[in-house]
Amino acid sequence: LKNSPFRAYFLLSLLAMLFLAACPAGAGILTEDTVWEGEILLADNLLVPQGITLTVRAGASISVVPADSTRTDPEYMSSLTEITVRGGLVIEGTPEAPVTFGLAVAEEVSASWAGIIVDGGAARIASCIIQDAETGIWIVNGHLDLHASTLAANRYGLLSQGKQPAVSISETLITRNEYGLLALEGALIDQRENRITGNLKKDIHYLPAESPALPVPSYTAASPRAPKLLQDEVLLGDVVWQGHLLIDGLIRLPPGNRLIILPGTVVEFKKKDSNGDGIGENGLMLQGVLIAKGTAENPILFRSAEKEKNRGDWDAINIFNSDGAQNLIEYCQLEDAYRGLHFHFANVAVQNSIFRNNYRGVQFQESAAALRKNIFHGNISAVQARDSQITFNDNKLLHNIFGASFFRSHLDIRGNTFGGNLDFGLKIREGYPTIAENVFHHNRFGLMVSDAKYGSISGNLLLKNAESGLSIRTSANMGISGNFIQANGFSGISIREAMAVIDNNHISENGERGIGLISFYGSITGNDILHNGLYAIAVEDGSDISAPLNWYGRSDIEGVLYHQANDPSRGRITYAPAREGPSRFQWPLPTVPLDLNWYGDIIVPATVALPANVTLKITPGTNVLFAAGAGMEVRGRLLALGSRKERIKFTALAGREAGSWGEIHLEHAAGSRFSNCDFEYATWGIHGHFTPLPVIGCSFQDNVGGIRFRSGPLTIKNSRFSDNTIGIRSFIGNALITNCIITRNENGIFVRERGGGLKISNNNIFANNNYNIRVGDFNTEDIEAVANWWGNEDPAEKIFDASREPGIGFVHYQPALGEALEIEIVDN
Amino acid sequence: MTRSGILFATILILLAAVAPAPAFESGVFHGRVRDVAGAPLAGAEIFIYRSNDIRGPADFISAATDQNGAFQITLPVGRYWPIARIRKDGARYGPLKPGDRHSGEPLEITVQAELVLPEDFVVADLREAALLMKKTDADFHSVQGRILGENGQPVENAYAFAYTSALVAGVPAYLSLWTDASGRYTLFLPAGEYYFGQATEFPPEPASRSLKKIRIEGNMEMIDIRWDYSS
Repeated sequence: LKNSPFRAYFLLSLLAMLFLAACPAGAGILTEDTVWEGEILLADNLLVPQGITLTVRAGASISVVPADSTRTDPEYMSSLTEITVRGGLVIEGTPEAPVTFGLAVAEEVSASWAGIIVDGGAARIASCIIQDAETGIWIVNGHLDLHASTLAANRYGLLSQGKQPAVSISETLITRNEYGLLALEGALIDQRENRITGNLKKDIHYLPAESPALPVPSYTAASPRAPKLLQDEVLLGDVVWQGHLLIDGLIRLPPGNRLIILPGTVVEFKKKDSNGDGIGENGLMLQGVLIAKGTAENPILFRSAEKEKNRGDWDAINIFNSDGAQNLIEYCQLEDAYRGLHFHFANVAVQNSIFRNNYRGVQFQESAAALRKNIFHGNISAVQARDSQITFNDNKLLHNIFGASFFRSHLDIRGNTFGGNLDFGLKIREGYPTIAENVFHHNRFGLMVSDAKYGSISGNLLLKNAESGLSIRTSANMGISGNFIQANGFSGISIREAMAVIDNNHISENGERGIGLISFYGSITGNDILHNGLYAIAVEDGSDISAPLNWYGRSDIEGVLYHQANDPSRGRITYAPAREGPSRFQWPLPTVPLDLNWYGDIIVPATVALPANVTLKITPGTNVLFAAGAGMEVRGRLLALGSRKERIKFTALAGREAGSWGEIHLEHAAGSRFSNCDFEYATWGIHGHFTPLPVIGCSFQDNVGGIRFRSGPLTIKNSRFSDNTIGIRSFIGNALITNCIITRNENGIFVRERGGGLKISNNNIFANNNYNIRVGDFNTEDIEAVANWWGNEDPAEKIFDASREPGIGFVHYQPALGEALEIEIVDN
Repeated sequence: MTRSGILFATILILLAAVAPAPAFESGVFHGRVRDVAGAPLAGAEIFIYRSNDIRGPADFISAATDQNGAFQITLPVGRYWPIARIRKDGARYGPLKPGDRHSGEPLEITVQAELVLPEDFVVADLREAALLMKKTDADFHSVQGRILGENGQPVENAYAFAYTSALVAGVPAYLSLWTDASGRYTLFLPAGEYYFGQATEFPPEPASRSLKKIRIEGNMEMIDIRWDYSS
């Protein structure tokens, strides 16, 4: 029947019979307390808003009609039929008369419904069976008390995210779902006597890590003034708004007119909810041109006028049929709206603006839109758009439930950060996307692409997303290149029914699979795929895979592949020839924005910044290759911890002479450390300011200088400085320099000023071309340098101090050692 | 061979002599490929699929188009979904890469004796395709350039504007976004004559310097606006 031409007719007939047999539920937004009992047919979404309670009596059976859409209403959470609770849900099942939720035609279709979504309010559920859903119960906010129930045959049984929801589950069976219980982002669940077993892929997935609290700026209003009240009004000509306006109605701007809002203006909307759906109706309806041109010093604010402000208190800035002169929204803050900015058939640029606490930040279609440097924070969904030409650059989408969703659009998506969104960071359907140099981190899903015909995904960072970093469905001609994909919960890349070239990516430390494939056509080559939890590449169907010239970080490659050799029904991965060493991965971003680990060969094409509070670990055996002039600016924590056998090398990408690359510059970078590292061809290997820094077991050779530093304190041990112009240069420095070899430099140690904080002992300091220690003209302090071996010459021959130039400090080098020390250049 | 065997073989031979040879019905599919500017395109190939799923290997691939952009391929009679592709690097297989061009969604065709493609395939790369999907009023043109300071350096936190008359008054008819460090601006405005200027405050101070008169007839680039045109 599934493939029969009568299938549609059969389904329609079945649904018609169900309609006759069951009581159709009033779908949409409930506006009064409601009780369900008996047979209920739910044919569309149901939303239980704040202040309203839905009670379901024992024995009720709820049949949900499946639907999948490109729905645009911001108050809903899924494209599937859903029950979303922001008020109260009480399910009063009993063991004798349980309540059931399931599909109306479950046996005949592969469709599903969304499930019960708790987004605030409280759900008290007893003796309830929930099945056939994408997620049986998804709790985002609020309270859930689930007792003596069954969650079965869903994709996800129960999903809880973050520490905010209060979730209690008792005597409940979670079984035959793909995934049983997911507790993400540090979700806390009080569990008693549950059975979570027999789920197809995983019973329990617990991800304790919370996404880091990301700094979110906001604009503040200028001093409040007495507001000017505007009610239903039509604006004509060039209308200029400034000061403080209070809107209690709908403001219209007909075509051919302009609304010009000056910097510093505050526009507040009273809440008017005539239909009791909880969503305010006051707003702007513009068919002319909007110029809202705030400045950094005097932004423009659009917000609720209510004392207790809630999302949805006002409607939107609506712009329709304005596709000529560009509408400008700059340095604006839109908050508490249903849709902050909403436009159709319009030419709109939005820049340096903040959208927060809205149902949806921005929504548009059939438009040309340029969004740059905006922040979307704490919205249910940040951005949704379709059928448009979109430039989306340098925006930050942080801690929304849904990030950005684009349907059937031409997209240039570059330089954005999608972080900490509870569901996806970025979702693209049927688009022509170019997605480059973005950061996707700590979302549930980083980047999702489906039904795209062509596109490029390059140079992105996909890090610590709870399920997958990048997932691609039913798409063709995708180029996936140069991305850094690390520490995602399940898969780094997940592909189903897609055609793609996957090359030159770094894919490591993902929880289960580096790359998971179902029905893949294309090639996987030139990637570094290592240290993933289960497999580097896993094939889950019978498709053969071409994957030559990848590096797996180990010689037993079969051990990290899941394919025909493991299960004859799977396709075969042709992995030979495999690379014996890493390919060269070019770091794609100007920063290392989050904690992560480098492996293999990393090219740094331009100076890369490591911000404060970020830790970069460079793992043993890594080579960091800097382009000419490139280096690192470290304000965070740089841990370059090589091992005795696998040292770390910092070297030039091109050139084999001193100064072929810049320097590693550490400034207030406490906690950093270099162990078993080799520096060569640099301008300065290490340049530290105000940074306590151990440098142990390192070598510095053929640089302009090895280490220069101010303040410190540094501990330089078991290290070698040779063939540099200057080995070590101190400026108002504090350092212990011990067990080092310092030789064949022009000057071994140069003390520019205030060298009293140096302690130099038990080193071999000899045969430097000019001086072993050279005291600078501005250094008036004596320097302690006893118990070193200075070679076979008189130590004084190669020490430049007050004995040669009165007024500068002495080097106290006696007693000196009579013979060279045995020194090993290693940190044990 | 037994008698029955000989009889069976004889029947088979007779049947083979009488029955017509199994005909492999085929047709010829031909047409042309051109680029977005309308020029015939040599070197393109037509990838032909038996379904509208164009993600896997093609069932048939034509020879490359000739200098006139023409192709021809013989196919078994049936329904197909063809698409034209041309690759920068000349590769024949695998997914397209940036810069490769294609004809978008596959056509649906039925090949019988002969099928001439009713309209040429037009191939474009992603960037060209995006330009074809213009979402702004066709009567408005984009004018791009930089705002430059007295010494020719880009000006940040400024914006470009255009008045429709030299008698400047009120907020200009057309304004750009605030510039970033590159000083780049874009204005959208219909064809006509304008007086361009730049400002660092909004609304702009009454014009205290000369404006630049520019005639707009289409999209324009590199229209830099300097601090003072008299210099």
